[in-house]
Amino acid sequence: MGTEQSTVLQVRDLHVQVHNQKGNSTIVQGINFELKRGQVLGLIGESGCGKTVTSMSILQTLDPKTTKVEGSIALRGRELNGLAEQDMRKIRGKDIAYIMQNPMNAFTPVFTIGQQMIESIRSHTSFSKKQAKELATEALHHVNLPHPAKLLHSYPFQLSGGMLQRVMIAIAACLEPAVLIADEPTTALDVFNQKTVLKYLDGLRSEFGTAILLISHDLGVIAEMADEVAVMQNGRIVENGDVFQLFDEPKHDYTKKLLSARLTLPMDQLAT
Amino acid sequence: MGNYILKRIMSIIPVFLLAALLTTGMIHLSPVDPAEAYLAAAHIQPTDEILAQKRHEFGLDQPFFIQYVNSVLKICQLDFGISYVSNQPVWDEVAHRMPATIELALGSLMIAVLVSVPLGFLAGIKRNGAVDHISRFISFFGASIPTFWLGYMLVFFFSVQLDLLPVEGIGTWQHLVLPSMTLALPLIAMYTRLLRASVIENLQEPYVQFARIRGMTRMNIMAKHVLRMAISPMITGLGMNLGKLLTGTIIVEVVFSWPGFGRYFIEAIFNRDIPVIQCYVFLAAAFFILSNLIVDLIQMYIDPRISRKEGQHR
Amino acid sequence: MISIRKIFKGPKVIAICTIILTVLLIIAVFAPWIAPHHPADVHLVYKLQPPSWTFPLGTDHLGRCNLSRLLYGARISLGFAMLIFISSLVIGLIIGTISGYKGGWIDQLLMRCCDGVMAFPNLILVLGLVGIFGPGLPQVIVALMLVQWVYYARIFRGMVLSLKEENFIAAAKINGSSQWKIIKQHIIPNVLPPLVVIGTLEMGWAIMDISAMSFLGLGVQPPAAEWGAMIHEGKSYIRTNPELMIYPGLMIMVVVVTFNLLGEALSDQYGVKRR
Repeated sequence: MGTEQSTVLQVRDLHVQVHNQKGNSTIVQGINFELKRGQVLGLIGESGCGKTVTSMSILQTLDPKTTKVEGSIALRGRELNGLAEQDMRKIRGKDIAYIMQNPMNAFTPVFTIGQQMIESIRSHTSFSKKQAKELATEALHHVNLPHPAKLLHSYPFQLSGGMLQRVMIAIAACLEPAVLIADEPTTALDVFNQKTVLKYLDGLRSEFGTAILLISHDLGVIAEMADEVAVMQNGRIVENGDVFQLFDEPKHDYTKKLLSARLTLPMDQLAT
Repeated sequence: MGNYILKRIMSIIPVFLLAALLTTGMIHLSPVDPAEAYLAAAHIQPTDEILAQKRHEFGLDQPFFIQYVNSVLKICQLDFGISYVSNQPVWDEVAHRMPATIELALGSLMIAVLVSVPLGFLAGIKRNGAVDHISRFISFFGASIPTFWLGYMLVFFFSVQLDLLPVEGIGTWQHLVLPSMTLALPLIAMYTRLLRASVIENLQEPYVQFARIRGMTRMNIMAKHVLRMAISPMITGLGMNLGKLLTGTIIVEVVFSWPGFGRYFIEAIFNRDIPVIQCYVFLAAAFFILSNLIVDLIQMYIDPRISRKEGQHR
Repeated sequence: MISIRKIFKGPKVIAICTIILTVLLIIAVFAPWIAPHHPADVHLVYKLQPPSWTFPLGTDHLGRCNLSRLLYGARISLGFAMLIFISSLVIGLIIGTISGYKGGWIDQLLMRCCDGVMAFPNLILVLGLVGIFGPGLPQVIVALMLVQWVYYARIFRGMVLSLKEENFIAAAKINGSSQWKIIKQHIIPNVLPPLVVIGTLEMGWAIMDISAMSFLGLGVQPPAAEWGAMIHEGKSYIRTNPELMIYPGLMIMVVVVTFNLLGEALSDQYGVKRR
């Protein structure tokens, strides 16, 4: 494929304010980053620093009555901020995919996995039910989930967290997204499942050239997957750069603090 | 899943037996001697001989347990005794009047569901919107209005003033309108409130957000996912409140002179027609038990977690 | 932006409802002094008259003063609702205490009975009981009592159970304070709110049931002035004098709505679950 490095998603000067009874408060400010084709950008920071708000604003799912989103979010040159809902809907799930943090709650409990996968596929394509089903089966096969045909008839509560994460990845794979936002994809999983999920995320990247925004507070995950890293603190990006450089020679104090707190990572992996 | 159904069906048998026990026991609680009551209704002068004969006929001189077993056996054959008033088998009288009550009940349930589902749903989606206020108003007053008064008010308005609908009786669909509306209102009050609360709760759930993020249309999310999830508590509530429906039929039938089982029950109370009273109470209990069972089964169909989890070892 | 929701909740509502109920209570107690006529006074000469100075709300088919009958009706409804409330409270207290104290199979049996009664529709049980005992106001009152005690029994049983807890006795010792103080501070606040909420709602229901039974002809007997009975008598005149039915119905509604509003507001205030 070569080293084609075109920018897929560009976020400039993102500024999100929330309006509540006490007035306006700023959640994130001055956020700038780029996602390039086939690249993984890691976004690290502690809970509450604004990572999820950032991804929600990319997807334009924040409540317009209480939040104000300023700045530019451009997907392949197309401005997303302020885009009409029906146009944005087409982009969600197809051009920009999302992996949720807690997979156990993500799906609707009363519908089967198959029904929801097919529904996802058919709302973005003009496939028939049968075609969608075939596509879904194949995708499940790709992420190495056992007995895909049977799985399609299962309900979400019958699957484990790791399996559900892979289903989410499978859905994304069906639609070949340009961007995938993975919000803490490994937090709810055990170590073995973590590795598996990361492997398939990487698969998306290599097969479709999907740009991945990998949000995590787990530095080990970032170290393994990311090409570039951005560090967030209190709603701002305090440092960004190449993953190796950042980990070896952190410039910002906060980055240094984060890194020093995770010295025991290799030991964790050995223990299991 | 078949196991679960079987288990549930088996579990209601003891409850039935208990209901039969209570209704048999009812006679003995009454200060009135059934034999005397029968003779009084038949306008026969009670002498000691005739009383003793009647008592023997009714099996009242046998030990309670024997009476109970006899009752249960008879009930299984749908034999509820003979009405004191008409001298006909109670079951015949009841069967004759039952269809009218069923018509009324079904009509009201239909209206109730047709109104409360959209109302409750829309109220939940657009909180504090116009629909929401209307639904809350209806919910509140629907529960506070005396049913019999409501019936007459509707009659006054639609029949007397507007002359649109008949005042009482049975026959055409026009006869069904006012009684079912009257009976439906307290039900609407309840179901709307239940559904609204359920919808509001579901809107907070993560699956709604994920559906949006996956790119589902708002229409799809609401009409398919949220509705399907939210309707479950409403169905439970529906089952639990069928008692209100039952109570309502009695009053509505009296108000509108609707020739159903409920009105017959009231007549029996006035006439001290004990076999009929017993029959009604037992059938009411039976209906209650059965409807709870049916609601459980419907629940199981709508929410697959219930039956599947029963089998799993967790 | 005030939402109507806020208007119907909160201490303001509780205050307004309490005022209305107090007014009703005053009417009920002082009816003989307030009412212009005796409710059973028949003046056939004046039957079915429109409102006038002598008869502020007109007369009914027997020439009786409507207003007076309405006012006296408050006595019956509120009076008996109170009676039922207090007696079912006492019965509930006794049974709940026994159940909680003894535990074991007595407890199980009594609580199963409670469940059965609570689940089964109210009015049908009452009608069944009236069917056995015969029509008449005393029978209706007793029947309503027998149906209401279950709610209170549960509350009192809960209270006894928490008193039985060894922790309670130990806490008293550790605290150094008397058991009475702990009862006052911890147990009572747990018991009072549900009692008040359920009591309020149940009184509303009791009034509805009393009037329903009277309407059916099974409760209050003529010539007593009870709202439900008045509706029963008035229904023959629906075409000519609908007010004979409208007034008593409105009264029932006002009272029941007030009780329900109060009950709901209290239930929100104290976080208690309703029936």
